Amino acid sequence: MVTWVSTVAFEGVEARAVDVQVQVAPGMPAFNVVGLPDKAVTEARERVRAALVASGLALPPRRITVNLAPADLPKEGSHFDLPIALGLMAALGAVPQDALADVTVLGELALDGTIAAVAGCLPAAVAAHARGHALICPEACGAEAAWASADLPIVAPRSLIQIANHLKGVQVLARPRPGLPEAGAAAPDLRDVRGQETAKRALEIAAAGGHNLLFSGSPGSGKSMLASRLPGLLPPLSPRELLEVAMIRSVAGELAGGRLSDRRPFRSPHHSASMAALVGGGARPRPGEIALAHNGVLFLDELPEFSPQALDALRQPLESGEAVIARANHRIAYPARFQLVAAMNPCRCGGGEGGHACRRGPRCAQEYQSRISGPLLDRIDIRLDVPAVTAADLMAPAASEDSTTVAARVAAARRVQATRAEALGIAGSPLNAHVGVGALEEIAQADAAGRRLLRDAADALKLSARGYHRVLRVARTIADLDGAETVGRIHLAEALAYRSAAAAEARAA
Amino acid sequence: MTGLAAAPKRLAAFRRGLSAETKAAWLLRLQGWRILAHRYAEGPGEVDLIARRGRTIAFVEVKARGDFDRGVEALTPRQQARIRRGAEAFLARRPAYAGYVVTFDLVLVAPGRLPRRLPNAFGW
Repeated sequence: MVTWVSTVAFEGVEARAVDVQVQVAPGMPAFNVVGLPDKAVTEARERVRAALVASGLALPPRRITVNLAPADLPKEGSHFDLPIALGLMAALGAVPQDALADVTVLGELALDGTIAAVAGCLPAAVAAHARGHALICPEACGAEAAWASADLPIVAPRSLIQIANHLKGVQVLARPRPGLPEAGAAAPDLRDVRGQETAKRALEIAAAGGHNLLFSGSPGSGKSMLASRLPGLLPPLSPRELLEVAMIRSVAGELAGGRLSDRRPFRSPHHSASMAALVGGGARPRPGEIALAHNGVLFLDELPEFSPQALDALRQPLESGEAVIARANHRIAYPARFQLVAAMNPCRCGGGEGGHACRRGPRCAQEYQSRISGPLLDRIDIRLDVPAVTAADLMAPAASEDSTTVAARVAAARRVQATRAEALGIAGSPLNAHVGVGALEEIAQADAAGRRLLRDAADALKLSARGYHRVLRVARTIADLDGAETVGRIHLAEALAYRSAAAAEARAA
Repeated sequence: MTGLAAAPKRLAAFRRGLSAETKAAWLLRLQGWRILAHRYAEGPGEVDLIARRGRTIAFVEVKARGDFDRGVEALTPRQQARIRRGAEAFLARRPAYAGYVVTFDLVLVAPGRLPRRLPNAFGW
């Protein structure tokens, strides 16, 4: 006799349907799991046996074969324990077999029969809903799964006995409630930053258009402080973006308690991060920092200290908005549309004036800056030198503008972009930094004076084709903040200034 | 000279084992089992008792020790593998038993107590 239970296997943030088939037949006692299981799935055998014994069910002396179909899809993770156990219980008659029809099951078993939390409950719930299935998941994940849909039936049992009683109708469990949105601590306020008006302006432009940003300056000038203010300027996640972010965090196992937050992600990996940590990957592919920063900010402090290999791996995701991890036997794409914010010192000694002045001459700065490849720098729209703060700045009264005021302007500029994209029928992200090149030429029409300036500047600065378009994008955002319909000379001039400062530096190097 | 006659100590153990197996066989018979083979040996496999009841066939290892706990401990993984091989050989020669449920049982024999059967004690 064969019983069937549905579960899922994860491929990136996609949950693929997997059938667990359990056969109990007479013959030499054995318990085999087939269907390309990895070590954690093969070990499910021992956990299932112990959990069944702890729940008062002895394994019968039969030949038990568990097949995970489709047999050619590699299965990994510990969430196959519960479907195997339930299939076995149905085969033994401990739970009614028809109770498991049209149900997607996932969960890990402890030796005492309790059900432990697993990663990826939210994508599994979404997949179950799409298939018209109900969901059985661990109690700890119920709050997370409940976000998938209000009309998805969910059972979140604590132990094997609870779910057996529920399926038999002895003790029916209630549907778990969605976890409360995370209020979180207040984001740091822009008001705390003294001076640095140019940098604040650049931060506002970057927030409004989703542009990549590089701060360069001597130690203590407030680069990291400025960058950490960026999430407070960004608008909250839209429901659709929120779901995307939550799915990635769920697969990474970072969605504790099912608490979603509409705050944009802000990831700041240490500069010792490897390529796999940033982009994702490893023997068991997991989302990397850039996927976790999807729809948010990836902040790389001390940019030249990152390994060149890891940095250059960012080039392709920065353009395409997704991290594709290809392996010999599978290919996984994680969404990774993030805003790159980086900070660096001009040279290893710190650079700049005063105590951090470089004593080794211009060679030091050249060597340090050449650690960042040209193609990566080309993808950064706004590059800015952040000068050291003077004592006068620190003693001055706090700036009048706080994050809320700036965030309101940013939100207004983003609304302008969204309505324009809708009017032109642009699919995908409406942000100036993300729209396609074809659409960009349409939306960022410069006036005659602006065109002249752009032509001269492009020749003088030797802008690449990408650089040319990036200048247009930033100019469009500046015009949006201004409330201007067309891109004027003044907007282009400011956009060029953010690019030329670094270009001059690069030429000097 | 000692090579021909078995050492007295081992001979005593052998006799104790035989008497324990007789006791175990009687326990099984009282529980309704029919003994199919006693000291079944085939190639690398060896089984103390093979019994049948209904559609179930049991391969039984008998352990005689001072108490039951030590009897359970005495069953080594190597011995389990040997019994399993014996069972495979036994079933391979008798296709009539193909659809039977197979269990591996342990019968414990200790002085001053009735023998005890542990059904489905090993064999996974």
